[in-house]
Amino acid sequence: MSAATHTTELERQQRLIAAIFAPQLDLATCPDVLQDGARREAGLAAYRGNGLAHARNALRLQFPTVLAMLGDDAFDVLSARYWRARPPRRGDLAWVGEELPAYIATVDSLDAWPWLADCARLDWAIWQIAGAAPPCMTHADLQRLAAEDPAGLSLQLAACTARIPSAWPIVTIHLAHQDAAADWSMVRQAILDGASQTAWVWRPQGDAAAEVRLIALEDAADRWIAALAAGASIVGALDAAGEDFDFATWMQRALAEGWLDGVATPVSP
Amino acid sequence: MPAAPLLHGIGLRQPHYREFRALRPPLGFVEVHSENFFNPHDAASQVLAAVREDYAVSLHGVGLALGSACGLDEDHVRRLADLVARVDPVRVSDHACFARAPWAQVGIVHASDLLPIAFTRASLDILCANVERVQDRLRRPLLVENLSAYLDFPERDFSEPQFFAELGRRSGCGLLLDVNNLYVNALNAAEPDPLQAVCGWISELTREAPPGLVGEIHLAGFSKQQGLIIDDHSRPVAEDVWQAYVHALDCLGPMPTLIEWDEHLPALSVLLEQAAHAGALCAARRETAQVAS
Repeated sequence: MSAATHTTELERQQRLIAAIFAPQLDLATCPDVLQDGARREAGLAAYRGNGLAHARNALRLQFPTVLAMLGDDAFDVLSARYWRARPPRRGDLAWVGEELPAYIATVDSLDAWPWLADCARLDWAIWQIAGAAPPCMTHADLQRLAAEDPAGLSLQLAACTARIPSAWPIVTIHLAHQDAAADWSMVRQAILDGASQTAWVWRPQGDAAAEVRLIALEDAADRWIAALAAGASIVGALDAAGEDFDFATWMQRALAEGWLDGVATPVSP
Repeated sequence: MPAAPLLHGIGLRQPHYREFRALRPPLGFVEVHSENFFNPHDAASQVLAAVREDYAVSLHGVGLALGSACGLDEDHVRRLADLVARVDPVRVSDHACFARAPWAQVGIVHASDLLPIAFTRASLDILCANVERVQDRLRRPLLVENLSAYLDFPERDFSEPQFFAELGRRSGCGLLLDVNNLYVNALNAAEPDPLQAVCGWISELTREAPPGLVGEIHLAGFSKQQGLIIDDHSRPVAEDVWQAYVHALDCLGPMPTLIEWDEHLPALSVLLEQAAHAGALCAARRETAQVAS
């Protein structure tokens, strides 16, 4: 194949891609095709609609809280704008929502819901954790924990966990949208109070069949987990957590729920 | 004489998982969308592992974009290879389409769709190179499916059957013959006799193709939307498509055959009835061949 003929095919494909992602259906942008008139328009419209429909269906699954807050019509408008502004990079639709939280933060018309981007980050974390690797804490890790100086050890958080900090009450908002009997006056008050929350999300023992769980972290536990995530030693993380933190109780629950992947050398004191 | 192996299968979709596993219906294989099982840690992959204990599994992808002139997504190929290693499928397939291309300032984007390729020599070169790349990685031949295309490019060096015959000869891949796609294309091209057009396509393929090119047949339903026939796998197989399928069996012999149904998913029993009908037609073709020999 000559470089010229390869370029011809590449340009043909680029033109069709550009016509599909263009803001408006414009037959002038379509590459030369056999079909003309209304048949050409219908063909191009089908391709413009198919990819978007596939993405929209995936986004609805990946962002149930955002969908519930915006409603079907507004969510579909958001999906369409997102699809064109941040086109998919992968052929696996499981990743199509990867950039939606960041995109929401840039949309001026969503300024009235300043917590929406963080709610989207939480939705995305839950989606990711539903398929994350299970924890891999071993007996050898526990032995190191018992035998070695905690100043020289760090705890590795499991891949099936996530910490999502927010200036808004994202856990309260998320849980309310899953509860048919939610107390919405409480949700409104939490938003008005500017009650910040850090969500802690995990899949119990990495069990694929288990529901992903989430809680709002207490301040001390939040500081502890943030320090561990930054690679602090156990001693360093305890210092960060402060005196209110109950290490023994946390550790017991961490082992029961599968929050840890193992013990490592800290990257910071 | 041992019973002939079953050749009919169904596309296994999430709403049917529980009933399917309880029923364990007699099928030659089940087919799943590869991308839905790329993640080895999620619940879907657990279900597939359990199904695999009882059935041959055919992995059918929608995201490789084998005809893309900008090349393949190596991460997608790696994930497919990992899945193939886990599942040990009876067949691995994807489509003769493109979906990836550089766009504006964004870089390479993926259209999340099966976009048409031109039947030119350059396009064949691109498809062959990408198919060979995947086959080398998977260490097994691919089946490549013919598309339902809503736009066609005027430049062409081959008829579509010639294109697939040449693809098979050069790359060693097979053809996943989607009879419904042929019929959808014939309807959208306003062929005066769509059934005859489809049978003519299959006959030409039979003349042009190396022996054994076709490794599987897909059957599905379609709908009409805004002036176009859309291959949305939303209905039972149309009567004309069944007739074209019989012609394909006459030309190609008994063949693993899948009923695809993705939109407006019916009860599992409906899907199984359609598959059983395909199986009966295959069995009848096999008996005819035995009598003739």
